[in-house]
Amino acid sequence: MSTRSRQASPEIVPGSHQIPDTLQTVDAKEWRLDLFRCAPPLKRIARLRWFQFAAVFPNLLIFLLFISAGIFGTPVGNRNIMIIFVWILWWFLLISAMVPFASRIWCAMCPFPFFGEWFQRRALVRVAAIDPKKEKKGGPGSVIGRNRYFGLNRRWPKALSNIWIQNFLFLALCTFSALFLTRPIVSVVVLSSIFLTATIFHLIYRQRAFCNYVCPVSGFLSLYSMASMLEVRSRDREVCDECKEKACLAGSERAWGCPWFMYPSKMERNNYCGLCMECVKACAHDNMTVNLRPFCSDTRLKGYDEAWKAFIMLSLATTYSIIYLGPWGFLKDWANIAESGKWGGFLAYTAVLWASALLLVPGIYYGAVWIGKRLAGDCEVSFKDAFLGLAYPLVPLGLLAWIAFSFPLMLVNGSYILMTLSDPFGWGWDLLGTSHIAWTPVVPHWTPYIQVLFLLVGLYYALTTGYAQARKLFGSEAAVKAFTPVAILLTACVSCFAWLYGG
Amino acid sequence: MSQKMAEIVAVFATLIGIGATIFLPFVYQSRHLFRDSDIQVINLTGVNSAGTWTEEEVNGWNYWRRDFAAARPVLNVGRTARFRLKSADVIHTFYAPALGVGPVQVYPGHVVEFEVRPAQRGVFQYYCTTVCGMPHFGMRGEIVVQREGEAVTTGSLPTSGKYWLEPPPPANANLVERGQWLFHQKGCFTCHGPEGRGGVSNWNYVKGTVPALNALAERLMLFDREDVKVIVEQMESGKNLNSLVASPPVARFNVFLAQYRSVRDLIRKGSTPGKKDPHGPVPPLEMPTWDQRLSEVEIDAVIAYLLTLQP
Ligand code: HEC
Ligand SMILES: [Cu+2]
Repeated sequence: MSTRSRQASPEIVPGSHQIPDTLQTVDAKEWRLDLFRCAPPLKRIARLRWFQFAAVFPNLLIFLLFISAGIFGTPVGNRNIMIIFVWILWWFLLISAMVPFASRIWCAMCPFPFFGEWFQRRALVRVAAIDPKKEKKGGPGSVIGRNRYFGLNRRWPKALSNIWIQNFLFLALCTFSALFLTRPIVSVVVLSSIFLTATIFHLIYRQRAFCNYVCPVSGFLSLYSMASMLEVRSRDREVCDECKEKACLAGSERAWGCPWFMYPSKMERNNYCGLCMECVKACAHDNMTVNLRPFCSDTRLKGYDEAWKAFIMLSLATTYSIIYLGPWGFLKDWANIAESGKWGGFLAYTAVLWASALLLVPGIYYGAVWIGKRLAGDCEVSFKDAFLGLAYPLVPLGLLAWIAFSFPLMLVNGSYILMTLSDPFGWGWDLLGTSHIAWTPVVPHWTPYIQVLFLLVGLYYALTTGYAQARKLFGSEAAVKAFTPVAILLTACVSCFAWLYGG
Repeated sequence: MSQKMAEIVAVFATLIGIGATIFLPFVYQSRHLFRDSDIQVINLTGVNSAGTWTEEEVNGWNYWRRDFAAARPVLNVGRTARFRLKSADVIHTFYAPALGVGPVQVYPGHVVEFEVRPAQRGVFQYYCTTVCGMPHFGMRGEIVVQREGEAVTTGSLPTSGKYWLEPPPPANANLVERGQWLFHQKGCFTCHGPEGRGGVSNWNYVKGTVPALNALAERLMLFDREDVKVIVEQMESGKNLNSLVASPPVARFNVFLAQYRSVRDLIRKGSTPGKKDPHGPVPPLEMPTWDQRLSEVEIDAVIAYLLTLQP
């Protein structure tokens, strides 16, 4: 769809992720720390035109190096930098550092959309800004807001403006996790397919449609970023209300309009903000900033797609814990189809994983919410609101369950990280003198305690946020009753994890 | 810096960065490999799934092929050769006793380097001496040492093929047929020779070559082909031979039974071959333990098959 005839009023991209104002809940008591005020150098960096290029570029090269290592390096999984760095180190950093403390900062440095975005913008650093009033018809590319873009610039279909695609893709990918962990070439195929798909989607659809709706990693980043302690927000709503140019949305000569289809000045949730800092650069009123905030500040799930993401993530964490950390070796065998060749087992594992992630876990949760709503007695709350509200505790719980799960994997593979750093291809190099350190899987006896600690933190946040949700929905009187079944379920879930880890 | 300048710098950085990332590792690798120009470099990778030590490059991309030619490195008398041993999957052990090399353990993903300066011409066998899986017994080949410029001698070692993939006999096959298949599919023939004819040399072994097995009947004191037939029939019918002591089917059955038990035991537990020169290297071919890999019935099947053979 061409938008060449756009008028001065910038196009407001239908905020598919925007939620009605009535549902927006900003708890006035919660603190915010304006990082740009506290640390002005941060602001200067974020406002640099080449901020994002500088963040992405190293990752692009690293990604290429990994692909090269996966193809030309040793086929031995734990000695190839591709596997160790992507699935062990990157994953661990993502889930336990970036997401909880820096939201979707990964998306700001992700190399996947590099070529696609370059093509769309025909720019790595600069901005292609135009003045819509002076723009003649038939100019090159298409104009969205005050920026010029190339490519087809189709709108993403409304029906798919949710994260269901991401849910299924992620589940599908995770089904084959054992393969990724043993064979570098599988990772090469998967990652380069994502890279290629991202590039193609950028040619067809506008801006970051791929990231928002297709990227399998993006789904869980969006869900768990709700819990994150970092946010991009406007400082003062009134400034935004009076603002005419809406540069954060429509772009300006200083920056591109929000590539994530958000209306940054009205943003209330982290879910679909890629922290690219374009709005920070765009705002002429210096009204966009980055805040530090309490853990679990965004508390509202928008739709069933997001709730299901939470179920999928929890089911995966459970399944992986059972397979990789549990005492049942044959299960690992089943999951690892390439090595074992046991198709029957693999199908059984897949069926159980999919059924529990998509039906069983949501079903049980549904039951708990239903009972809770019954216990709460007559009320105006619709079931959907109750379900989505009470599904929120799965965000902190799931995130911390994942951290608890990934923690020992990181310890076990720690020495491989040092080894592959010195010899990324497994070709016999010793760049840093660490390729011959003895293989020492460090799983100290206190590991389960740390894991349980993570789980308890998760439970604490799950219970407190869940109770807060219940109060908001059912009022303080009925809240306890409404929340009790879910609370029991959450506690039981954590107990299972603790039993699995602690033995 | 103006936006335009920054843009140009970024584009150049991108192009150069991508090129460098792709090519630099290879440049570094070849400098690393050929750091001494007068040294010949021999890359050997142990690939269990292919049952070979190969000189081909085994990487993430082609590992799936599972088909790599066995290496037959050619060295020159008096010229140093640097061996670089890798493993593409499991732990292997490289051993070329006649050349005075190894045994060296090779862990997956680690590169083991050592240098050899052969003093005399000849054809030297190499082996894997860690039982690394079914294809293990095929992981063997020759290193040729010759004078510079000499024509390369052709191979003398018969290849064992992918014996472990040999399809099983039909379900109604008899005990002897199954034994014949097992003898091939488990790799016994790689040491004891096709049809157990022996002749496979074993460095520094008291007997010189791995024992032939086609005279097993005589070793078990069955000198009459008729007796062999009777015994095989008894085994075929699934009877425990021990239970026949009361009504011996052949003459001197007790003597046979004692021998039979000891051979069974030997197959089960394996045996370390004695050294000819007690100070010399361990013989590379050891009778493996088959406890975990052959059931009682399978061992009987192999024995039955071997009994029917004649030198
Ligand atoms: C890696 C080489 C190797 C393989 C494979 C091998 N053997 Fe042996 N086998 C030997 C050696 C060497 C001896 C001699 C041991 C000794 O002298 O102590 C031996 C001895 C024997 C003997 C005793 C022979 C005698 O005269 O004492 C029997 C029987 C035998 N093997 C059967 C088998 C069977 C059956 C298989 C296959 C299931 C097999 N072997 C596979 C190397 C091998
Ligand atoms: Cu071997």
